[in-house]
Amino acid sequence: MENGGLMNALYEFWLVGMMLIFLGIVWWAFKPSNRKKWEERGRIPFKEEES
Amino acid sequence: MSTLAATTGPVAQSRSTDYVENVVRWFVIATIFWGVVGFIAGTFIAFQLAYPELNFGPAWLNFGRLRPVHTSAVIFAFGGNALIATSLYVVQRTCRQRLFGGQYLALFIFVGYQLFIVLAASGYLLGITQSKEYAEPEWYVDIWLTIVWVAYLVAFAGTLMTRRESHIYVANWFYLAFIVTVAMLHIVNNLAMPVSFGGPKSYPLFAGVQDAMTQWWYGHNAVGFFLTAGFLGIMYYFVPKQAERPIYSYRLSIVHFWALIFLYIWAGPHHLHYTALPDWAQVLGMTFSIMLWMPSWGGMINGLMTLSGAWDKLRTDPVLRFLVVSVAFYGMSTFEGPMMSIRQVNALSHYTDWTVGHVHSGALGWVAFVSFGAMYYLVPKLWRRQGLYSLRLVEWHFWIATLGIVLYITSMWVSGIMQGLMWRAYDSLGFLQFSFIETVEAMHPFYVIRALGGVLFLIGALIMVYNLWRTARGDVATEKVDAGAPAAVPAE
Repeated sequence: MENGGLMNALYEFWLVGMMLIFLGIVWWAFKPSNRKKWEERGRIPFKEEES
Repeated sequence: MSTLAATTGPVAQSRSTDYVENVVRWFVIATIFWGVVGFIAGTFIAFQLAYPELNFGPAWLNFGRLRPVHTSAVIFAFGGNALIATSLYVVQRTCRQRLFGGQYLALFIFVGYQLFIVLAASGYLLGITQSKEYAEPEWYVDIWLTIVWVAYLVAFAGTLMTRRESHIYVANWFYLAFIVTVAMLHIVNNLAMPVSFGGPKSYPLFAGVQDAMTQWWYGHNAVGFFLTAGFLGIMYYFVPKQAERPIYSYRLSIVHFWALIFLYIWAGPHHLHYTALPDWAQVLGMTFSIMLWMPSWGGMINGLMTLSGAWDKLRTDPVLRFLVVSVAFYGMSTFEGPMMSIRQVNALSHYTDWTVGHVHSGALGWVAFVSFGAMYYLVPKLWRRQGLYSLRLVEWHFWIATLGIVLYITSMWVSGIMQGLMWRAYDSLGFLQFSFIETVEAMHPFYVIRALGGVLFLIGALIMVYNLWRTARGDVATEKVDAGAPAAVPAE
């Protein structure tokens, strides 16, 4: 695989970038201050109007 | 159909949101109809493998032509209609908004999707196929499906964009990922040039190993986004609803979603171990497949733990049992899959019945069971009934179908591993010990057991058809007393 320095840099940034985005999502999901929000959202299926 | 007309009118309008429900009802009927067709086709071709005389003679009865009829019927017709039915139901309720495009767009999706199924299946019987597994339909069917799929995306995404609930509930994330990714996979894998405008034949854009890689990028993500993400959408709505408690951990569901999205798309190369595909790509596919253990089991735990503190409901509610056992099968088959993607394991398992058994533990245990659970939940709701006609019949369906699955997957484990071991057996002089036909003869008893498992699964489905038909008619079985009185049974 002959890639230019720029291409390699892009590939590596892409991999690391994806990794960081994913870790960011995990952090966002588990942030203690978000806990109440998630609990509310888990109850959405029970908010619908009853038929 | 008279029951449909009788129940659509006044009751539906008494609510503040006028959900599109009649088309959802038709999707439910289509799900059940195509399910039975697909199970019959599968059982028949299982008997063809055990008794080749059942190929009879005409080309359109041949195993090679009926097999894609079975796979497409169960995946795209049964599974696809189940996904569209549930997604249109769930998106309206969790967004508290009427379906975007109203019932005419929904009607177009319904008619268009059934037409796709009929066009595809009739082509298989006539020998029209592009010979790509799970992507057999030729170009004219592919173009039609693309149009229908875009309409589906418009209806679904349009409802999300006009929602009255500020947050998009996680089940909709999974459904949306399923719709968008399947569109991408379908278009790229079916890039082909027709030979003529009047004829069905076309040639794919890619050739050789690139074509194989594109096909299994499509094929494995059809498993990942059609048979997994879509049905996880069902799990995240129907398990909480049937258990009457919110999902165990909403934030785990977020991590589950994104981990699946980030990882699944890379797993395809494990279908091409020890082929012309470069080794690095094979190892990449294997590695990502193994990483999938984490989100799969995270998702399974999330589904199962929703029952924590309410496990007793499993004893009294056979519908919930369908849903929960399906999640357990999800965990089991997503454990088995990554294991089989390891190259050294794959060297034994690939091309054998083990793969077939693995697919069916996912397809029968996970996909079909979660769909059955959703249908048992939906029919009383959509036809405005108090409950199901008979819970006892649901019990019968559950146990007969479970026994069928057990027969199916255990016989395929034995048959597949035996087949793999026989293929690689050498004698003292270095010659292959068995000819191919000897392996086929050795597998015969397991083929018979597998076909009987299929018969049981089919019988269970027919019990469901009867039960749901009586439910839609508004009947209630007299056996209700003992099914409805769980409290009288003392705990050990």
